[in-house]
Amino acid sequence: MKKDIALVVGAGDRNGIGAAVAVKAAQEGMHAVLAGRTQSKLDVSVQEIESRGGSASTVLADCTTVQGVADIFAAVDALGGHLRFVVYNTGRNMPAPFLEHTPRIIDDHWQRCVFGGALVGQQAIRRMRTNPEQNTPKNVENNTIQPHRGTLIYTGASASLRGKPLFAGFSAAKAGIRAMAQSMADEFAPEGIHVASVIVDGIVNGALVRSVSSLAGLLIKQKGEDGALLPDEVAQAYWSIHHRYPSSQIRELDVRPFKESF
Amino acid sequence: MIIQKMMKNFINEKIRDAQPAKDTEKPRVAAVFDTAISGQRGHRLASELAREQGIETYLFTNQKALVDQIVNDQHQNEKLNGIYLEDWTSETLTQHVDTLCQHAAIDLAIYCPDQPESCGFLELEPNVLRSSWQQTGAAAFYIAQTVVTRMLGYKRGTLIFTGHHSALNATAQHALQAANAASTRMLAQSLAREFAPKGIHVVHLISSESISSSVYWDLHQQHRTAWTQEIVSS
Repeated sequence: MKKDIALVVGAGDRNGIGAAVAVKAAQEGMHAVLAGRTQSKLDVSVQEIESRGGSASTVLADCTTVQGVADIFAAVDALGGHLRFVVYNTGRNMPAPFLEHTPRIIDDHWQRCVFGGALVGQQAIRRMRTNPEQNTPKNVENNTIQPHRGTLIYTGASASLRGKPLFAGFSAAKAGIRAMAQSMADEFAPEGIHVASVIVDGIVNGALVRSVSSLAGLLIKQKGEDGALLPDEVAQAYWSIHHRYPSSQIRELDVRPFKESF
Repeated sequence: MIIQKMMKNFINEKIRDAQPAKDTEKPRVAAVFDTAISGQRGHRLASELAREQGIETYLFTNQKALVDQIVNDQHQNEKLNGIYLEDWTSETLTQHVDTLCQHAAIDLAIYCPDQPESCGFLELEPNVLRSSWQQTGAAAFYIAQTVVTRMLGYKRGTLIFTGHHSALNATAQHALQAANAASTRMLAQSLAREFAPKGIHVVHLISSESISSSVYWDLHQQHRTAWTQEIVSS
């Protein structure tokens, strides 16, 4: 029998949340598909997964285009397993005063978060609908069976919940996909498809932040020990949303370092 | 580089803050930006403001028929004016608002979006997602940029975003509506935090189609010691 498939859209460097979730899903016995834009980065995670006896594959695609999303799902379909776990993990924070938000910046945010998120969500749900049910314990109270055909998780940020100066574009886009996820959760729960958001609040001690500028490196230092999110630890939260369903139906959770103010 | 830019922005801001507000000889007017492709809400709000509050009011719309109607009815509501926009891009907005601002100062601006019909998530076509964003989400950014830029000089003005209940409670079959509504809500919140200290009152008003213009007017009249940022009306 083919392994169930986990797809991470927006898997970059191994030291990021996307790759960490893929590694976790592979550890739990799924075949991980990592969709990203840089082959060499994805290869690192695949090697790690395979060296531990897991299986994974990659697809290079721009998930903000219709064609890119079609490519991703063609690669998934070619594997022949059931797609049961999808994580949409894109969006880049580009702080700018509101009046310096160019049309390009405004559109980029929307495309990365809402447009790409909607396209991937549609393709994922179309496939999950045909999955056989899994985990169907009887609900003791009303004697109903809650099927589980798949889980779809969107990565959010503190900006999903509040808008602040410098973050108008990012915040509008992240709040948009969060609301869309809520609507999807409501629409597809009866079919056993679980849609959730993870609100990541704090600096991720990952490759992206380290590469942006030395300022970010400084920021992480200034946060002190365990002041930044560790991707592998964040991945546990993603997995629990999928794994605990349907006995726990988590539609949203946040993760932040213990000393992060909020 | 980021540090240099932050310093530059900080200094520019301090210079701006130290300058006195421009005193305007121009009449203060209201502008209603109705981005809906059909429907009468923006037109109704603008008509009420002009008639009941006596403020010169401009309806920006890309429904040509509404502009024609306003011209035909001019004798009944002299303070109501219609401005036709071909689209909601930054360039088009800037051009038309500049023309208006040669002889007027926008003191109250209202964003009034389309309320899309409910639709199953899987039936949302990519081109619908995109055009709805351009017409609703992106338009809100450009309207705000155009208006805020001009209000900053006077250090006063009210910008009200008309929102939708799905911004707070996204239900099945409303994915697109909810995404646009939640986006606009966060935009309004970001702007309030950025521009309230500069004298500009930014409000997110959640309401149904039948909201009365008096709610907008009351918000516009609020003293800055007690500004509302969000208001929910049934």
